[in-house]
Amino acid sequence: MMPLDGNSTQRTLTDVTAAIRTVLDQPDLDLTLASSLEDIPNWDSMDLIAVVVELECRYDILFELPQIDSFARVGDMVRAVAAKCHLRAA
Amino acid sequence: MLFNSYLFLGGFLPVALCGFAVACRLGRRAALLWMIAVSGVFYAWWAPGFLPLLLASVAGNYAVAMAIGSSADRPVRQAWLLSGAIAADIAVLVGCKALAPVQPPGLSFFTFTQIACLLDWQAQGHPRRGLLEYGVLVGFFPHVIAGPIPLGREILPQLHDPATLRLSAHNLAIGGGIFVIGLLKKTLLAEPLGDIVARGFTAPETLTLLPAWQAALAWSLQLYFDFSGYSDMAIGLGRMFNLHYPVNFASPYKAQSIIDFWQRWHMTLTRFLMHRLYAPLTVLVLRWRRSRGWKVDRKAQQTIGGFTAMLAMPLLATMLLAGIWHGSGWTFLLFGMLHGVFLAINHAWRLFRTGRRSTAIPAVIGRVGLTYLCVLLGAVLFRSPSVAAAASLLGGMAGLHGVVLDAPTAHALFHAELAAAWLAGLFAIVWFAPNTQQIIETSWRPTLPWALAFGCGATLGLLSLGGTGEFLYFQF
Repeated sequence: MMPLDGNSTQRTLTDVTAAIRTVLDQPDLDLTLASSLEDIPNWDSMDLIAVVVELECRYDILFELPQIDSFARVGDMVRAVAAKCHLRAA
Repeated sequence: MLFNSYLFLGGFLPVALCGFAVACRLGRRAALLWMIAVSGVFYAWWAPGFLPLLLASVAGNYAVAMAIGSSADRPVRQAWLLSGAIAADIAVLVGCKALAPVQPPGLSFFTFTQIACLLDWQAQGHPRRGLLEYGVLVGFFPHVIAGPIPLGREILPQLHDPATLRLSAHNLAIGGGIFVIGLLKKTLLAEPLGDIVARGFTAPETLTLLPAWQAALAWSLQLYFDFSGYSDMAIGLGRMFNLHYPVNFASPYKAQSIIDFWQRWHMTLTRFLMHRLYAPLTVLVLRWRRSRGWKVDRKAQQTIGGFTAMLAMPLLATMLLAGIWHGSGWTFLLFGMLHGVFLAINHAWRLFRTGRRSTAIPAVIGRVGLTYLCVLLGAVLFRSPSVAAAASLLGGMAGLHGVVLDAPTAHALFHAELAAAWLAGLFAIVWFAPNTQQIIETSWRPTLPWALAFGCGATLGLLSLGGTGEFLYFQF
């Protein structure tokens, strides 16, 4: 996984948080890189797919399914988005 | 060669274990080769004519996996290789299901294992394991015929661990204990029900209310203990060779919803279907909706159109395919459709309900009972030779063939107190006893009383051998 600078990590975290808030309709949800997806109230596997599709749409990227399965924490999503964006830019 | 046969228990297994102990002393490669050799003998005993198919499938998929691994910088080539291999795997599976008069044993299971492996390796990188390790992952004899369906990341790291390739008294004891529990479930609990079930499902039109219920309940219990017993035996055998398989069966009749049921019944198959069929379908639907500017969030899922497109249709499609996988008749199609509808209703309930789920005992009993009745309905379809026969049995259960206990039918099965007490005892085990994992994890200790208990259990299991033998899931 590529290293990230602090600013871009924060920006991506903000976007991932926004996508999760939108999907779950929980505008006050507060998340960090270490937040476990399973610990988010009422979270289920359908929400994971919906959040990923929101992020794909926002960043114009595509994730493979096994990668989606591997997302356990918010930080996993943030790093995966950053890596996909980095690959596309390269 | 069944796990519950004298040949397996008195000949194959002791030789396989002794050979493994010797091979481990000769080195890692020898141990892996031995595991593959005994698996080849085991499989050939079932169907020598299909051994080349298993070997070709393993070799072909491994070659593609290696090619995918060496094409990390060429994603288009990777995608073509992956698509081609999966298409070939599915073509062989569908071709055999549709055309072959005799099904290759375990074809679905070793095909699913390899498809999952290819997809994982393409997405997450090839773990650079050798053909011998891959061969054990796919074809090791405890799981090759009817699962569990392990993932590469669950088994391959174990095979890389030097501690795995060394006979362990601890794992032999635990694995032996798990195996004995499975053997007892199969021989003492599942097989005695076979006669009642066969007679009931052969002539359902003759069954009045209670015999019809008896036949259906007995079938649900036979299937439960047969598959639970098989899963225990497979997992126990793996453990004797130091391999930890994923749990495959976790008290499914204690489930409080149909979603919960499928997370407890044939868990590794459910995992495969959910991750490799349902999830891709859902992702496709959500991407399609998003590309048209439509929302995919919870609010959108709570509309009729959104729920139908994003949840109900992928579920129905997945369960229909799962039904057809079990067999080509209308009963299997309806079985799949029924469970798809049940799951869709369950998801709708979760999505639209307000308030928290009650934990009061009557509410729990109600949920478990309702879930079991839904499963029973599907099980009747699953076992019946035709839809008409299933409808007839369900009609009998509804009292349409009469409710008189002493109906003048030669096929009346209900032998009052004895049969009722037997079924009640089995339900008590199903609903109140700890399952095998719980027994081993929380109660079992390497002590003399446990050794005696498992020794007596093994003796009882051996003395009870000689029923119909074959496991119900082997036909799939």
